[in-house]
Amino acid sequence: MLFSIALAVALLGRIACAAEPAIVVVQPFLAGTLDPAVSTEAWALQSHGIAETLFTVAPDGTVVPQIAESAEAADNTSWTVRLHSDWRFSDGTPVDVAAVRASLLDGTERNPLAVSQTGKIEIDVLNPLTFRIRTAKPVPAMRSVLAEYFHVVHKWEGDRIVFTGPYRVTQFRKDDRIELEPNPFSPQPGRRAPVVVRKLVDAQARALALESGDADLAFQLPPESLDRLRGHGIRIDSTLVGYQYLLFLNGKRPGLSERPVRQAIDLAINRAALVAALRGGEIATGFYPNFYRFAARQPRPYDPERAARLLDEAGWKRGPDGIRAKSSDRLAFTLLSVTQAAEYGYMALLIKDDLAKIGIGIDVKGVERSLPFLMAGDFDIGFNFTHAAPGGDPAFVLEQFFRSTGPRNYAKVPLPGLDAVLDELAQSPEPDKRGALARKAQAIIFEQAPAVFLMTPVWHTGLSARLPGYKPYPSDYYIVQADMGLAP
Amino acid sequence: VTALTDILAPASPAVAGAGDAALDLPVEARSGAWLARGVAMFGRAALLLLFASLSGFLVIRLLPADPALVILETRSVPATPETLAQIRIHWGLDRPLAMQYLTWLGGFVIGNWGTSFRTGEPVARALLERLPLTAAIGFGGLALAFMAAMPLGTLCCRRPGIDAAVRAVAVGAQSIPIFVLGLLAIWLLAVEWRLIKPFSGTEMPRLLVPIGLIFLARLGRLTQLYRRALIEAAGEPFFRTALAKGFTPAQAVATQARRFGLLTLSGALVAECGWAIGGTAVVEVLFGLPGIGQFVVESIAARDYPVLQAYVMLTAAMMAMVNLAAHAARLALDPRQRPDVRA
Repeated sequence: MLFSIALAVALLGRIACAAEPAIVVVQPFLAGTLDPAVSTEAWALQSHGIAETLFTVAPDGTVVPQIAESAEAADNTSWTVRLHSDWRFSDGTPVDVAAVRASLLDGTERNPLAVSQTGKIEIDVLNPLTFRIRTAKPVPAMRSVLAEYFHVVHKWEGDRIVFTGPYRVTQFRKDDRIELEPNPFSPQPGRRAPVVVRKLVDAQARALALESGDADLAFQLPPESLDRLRGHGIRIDSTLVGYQYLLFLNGKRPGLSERPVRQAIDLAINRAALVAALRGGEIATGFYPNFYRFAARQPRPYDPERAARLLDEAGWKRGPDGIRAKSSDRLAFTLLSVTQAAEYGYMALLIKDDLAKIGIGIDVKGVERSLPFLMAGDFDIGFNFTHAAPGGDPAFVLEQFFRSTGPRNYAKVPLPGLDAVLDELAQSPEPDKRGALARKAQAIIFEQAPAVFLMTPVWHTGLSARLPGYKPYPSDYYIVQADMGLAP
Repeated sequence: VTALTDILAPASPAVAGAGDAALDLPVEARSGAWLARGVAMFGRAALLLLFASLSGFLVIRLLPADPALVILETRSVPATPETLAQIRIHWGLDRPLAMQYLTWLGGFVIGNWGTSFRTGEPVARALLERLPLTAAIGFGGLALAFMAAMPLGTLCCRRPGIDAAVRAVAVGAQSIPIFVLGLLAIWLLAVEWRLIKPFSGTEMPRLLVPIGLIFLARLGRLTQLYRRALIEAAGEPFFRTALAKGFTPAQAVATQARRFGLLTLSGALVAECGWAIGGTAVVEVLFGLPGIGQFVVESIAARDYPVLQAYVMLTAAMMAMVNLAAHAARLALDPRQRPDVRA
C-alpha cells in the first residue's frame, strides 16, 4: 500500500514536472561539442550543469569535494584520492574508480591542454573507491587541479557521452541551444524543471530576450540596460567575479625600468573612478578579488601627491609640455588598450587623465588582442583581464605572471625574494599556509609594482520571477546550478 | 520620364532581339563559340579559387596571435613553452607553412576540409550543416528584395510620392547599421507589441524577422537601381523604336525597358551577395541563429584556421557561382553579349 502511494506520488511529480515549462537561460557561449576532451569545451559543459569534477570551487573560492571525498598527498607527485560511494552517472551506473580512471586518462590522452599542470598522469586502482594518481610534474595543490574543467568525469556509451551533472542533455543543437532535463540520479529530480540554455552572443539581445519574456535568466547584461529592466520588474543580481583588470608595466622600457616611476603610476590611478565608469565593481586589493581568503584586505591606495613627489625625488622634472623628463628620456608611454570590449576604452581615457596630472603622457593604442604584444614584450603599458584563481588556488597566476621565468612574465621587472616564496608555495599543500605565502608574494609585488591591479568587475544577471532564489556564481563557471530549477 | 507615367498595362509578347542574327551562323561555329566562352569562364573561376585559397591562407596566418596563444589567453591554461609546443603539434602548426598549405589544399580538393580547433567537428560537416539557414536568411531576403524592387521601381516612375518614400527607405537602410535595425525590430515587435518571440519557438517563425531585415536593408537600393534603369531605357533608341512601331509606353516598358532594368539588377547581383554575406552574419549573431555567419565570427576570434580557410573557399566558390549566374542572366537578357552573336 505504502509502495503504491509512493509510486503514485512519484508519478504525479514526474507528470507535474513534465508539464512545467523549461527555464530558459540566455548566455553568450554554448558548448561547441559534448566531447570534454576537445580544446577547452569541458569548461562550458561544467557551466551548463552537465558535467562535474572530482573537486569543485565554492563561491568563496575554496576548493571543496564533489565526486571525490578527499585527496591526500604522499609527496608532490603522488596523491591518493577517495571517491564518494554514492555518486552516479546520469544513466544510473555508479561512479567507481574504474570509471574515473578511464575518464581521466581519456581526457588527458586526447587533449594536450589537460596535462599542462600535471604532465603525463598514471593512475593505480587501490580499491573500488580509492586510487593513486601520479604526475610527471610536481603538483602541490592536486585538489585544485582536479577541480579544473579538463578533468570532468565522463564515460563513453558507444558514441554517446554520459556525465554526472545535475542535468542531462536531451537535445543539443550546435550554436543554438542545449535542452536539459534533471538528472534522475541527482537530488530531487522530480521537483526541478527542465532547462534550455540558449546562446545569444549580443548583450543587448540578451536584455531584450529577458524583457520580452523569452528568457528567465540572462547572463552578463550590459550596464546601460539595467534600469530599464528593473522598470519591468526584472530582478538584477550584480555579482563580483573572480576576474581582475590589471596593467602590466614593461620594466625593459626607459622610465618604467625605475621603481619610483612604476610606483607613481600605481598611486596616481583613481580606481574609484574606474569602478564608477564601469557602473559597478570594487577597487582591487591586489591580484585576487577580495572574496578569496588569500586576498589582500586593503584597497590599493590612491595618492597622486605622493606619486608626484616620488617622481620629483627620482629626478623627473616637468617640461614645457607638462611631461616629465630626465636626461633624454621622457615619461611618455603607449597604453595598449583592447578594442573588443568598450570598458577598456573608458578605463584608458581615465588612466590617461590621471597620469597626465602627475606629468606622465599616455598615447592610447587600440588592438584586437593584447596578448601577442605582451608575449613579445612589444608594449609600454598593457591591459590584461584574467581569472585570478582558476581552480581556487592562488599559486597559478603568481607562477604565470611574476616568477622570474614565468611564461607570462610580461613586465620583466626583477622581484627580489619572490621566486623563493613561490618555491615554498609549491611545496606547501596546507591551504592556510598557501594563503599566507600568497599574501607575502603579493607584498613583494606591490613594493616593486611590475603591475597595477585596477579593479574587480561585477557581472549583471537578470532573473525572471521564476527564479526567486537564484544566486549567480562569482564567474562564468557555473551558470546552470543544481537547484536553479527547484520549485519553491 | 513622362512617357512612363501611364505604364503598368499587361505585357505584350517580346520584340524579336538581336540574338536572332546568330541563327545565320553555322551550328558548329555557334557551338564552338559557346564552348570557348564556357571553358574560359570556368577556367577563370578555377584560377580565382586557387588564388583565394593561397591568399586566404596567408592572410589568415598573418592575423596577430595564433590559435594556441588565443586558447591559452581565454581559458586560464598555463602558457608554458611546452604547452604551446604541444598544442601546435596537436594542430599541425609546427610544420613549415608551405607544407601546411599543400596538405590542407590536397585535403580540401578531396573533401577533407580538416577539423575545427575549437569544436573538434569536421569542418565540411560543420559548414554544410549551417549553410541552409544562412542561405535562407541571406538569399531569401535578397530574392524577396529583387522581386519587390521591380514592381516598386516601376511604381516609383509613376508616383513621385512613392519614389520619395522609397528613397527615404533606401537612405535610412544604408545609413543605419543592420544591427541597430535588428535591435529596433526586436524591441518593437517582441518587447513593446509582443507580436513575435524571436528567441524561442520553431525555426521558421524565428527566421521571418531576420529575412525581413535583409529584405528591408536591400529593397530601397535595388528599387532605386531598377527605377534609374527604366528612366535610362526610356531615352534609348530601342525604346523610341518600339514606340515608333506602335507599342504603347506600357508595352515598351514591359518588353524593352524591363529587360534593361533586369540587366542592371543582374549587374548588381554580385555586390549584393557580397553585402548579404556580411549582413547575414550580423543578423545571425543578433538573433542567436546557428548559421555559418555566427560560426565564422567565433572562429575568427579563436583563430580557428581550418574553419576560416574553408570559409574563404566556400565564399569564393559561392561568389564565382553568383558571377556565373549573373553572366548567364546577362546573356539571356542581352543577346548582343552572346558568344555566337559576337562570333
